Amino acid sequence: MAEHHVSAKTYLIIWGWLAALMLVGVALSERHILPFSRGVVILTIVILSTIKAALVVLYYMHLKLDRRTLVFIALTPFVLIALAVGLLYSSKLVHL
Amino acid sequence: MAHAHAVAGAYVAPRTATGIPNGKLGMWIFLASEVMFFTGLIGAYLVLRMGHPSWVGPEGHLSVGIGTLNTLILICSSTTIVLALAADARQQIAAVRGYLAATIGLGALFVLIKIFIEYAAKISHHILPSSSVFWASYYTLTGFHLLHVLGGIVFNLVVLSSTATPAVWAHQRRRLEWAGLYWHFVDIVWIFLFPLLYLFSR
Repeated sequence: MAEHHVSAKTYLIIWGWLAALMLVGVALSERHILPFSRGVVILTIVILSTIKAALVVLYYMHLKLDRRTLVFIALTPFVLIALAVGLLYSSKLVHL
Repeated sequence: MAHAHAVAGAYVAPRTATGIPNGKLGMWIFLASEVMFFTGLIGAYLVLRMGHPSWVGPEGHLSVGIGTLNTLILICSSTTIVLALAADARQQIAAVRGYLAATIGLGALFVLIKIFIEYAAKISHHILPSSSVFWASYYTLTGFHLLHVLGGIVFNLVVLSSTATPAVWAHQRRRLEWAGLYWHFVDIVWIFLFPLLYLFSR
């Protein structure tokens, strides 16, 4: 068992951030009460979601304190996805 | 890999070439493949959506209240399972049991809300995967996520069952970390599915 020495208090603080960021995203999506354009709202919510995912991966999945090998494994699919998307969009045979 | 062995009840972790326990390494590689699986599904949804300028009208709006509640439930369950891990580090097996049971309960609540409130309401209005491309995407994305939640609940139940006796737990406790990794991944997928399906169509 990995002994990561993260306190229960830290886990609860992360929970607070996850819940708060999620509620901010929901509030932002109420475009009829907030003066933001659709593009700004979508971009902001995507950034908030990425921050939430990063908090879960770094603190709850302990990637911040774990071995670097696991970081490379976690990043591998994103490299492959970037390659696949790049090939798809650069292909003359594919018209999206 | 050297064999794991127990001496006087104390579990000694097997040494591996990577320095990472094989089960944990396997779980991370599995999760990396799962990232590709869900990226394929979400990518297909995005391509379909961008290819339809009109996409779905107000009839495609989902209940943000229920979606928010379910998101909060999954966030809470991620916290309870990581608190189970923290309790295990302090060797408080009763607390491990309690946090794991809470995680399972919250997961079950997510499933019940999804099936008996969300899906049931749509099906009663004859909204099916065949209704439109949007609803086909909705059922596919949320359906596969739901299957993963159910898989996580089963995994957590197996881990909970091994807390029955300290002797069994001493040999099985590493599974709690693997179950936690899987459960957090399921939470992360929902972190992206929730805005994509519930918030961006408003």
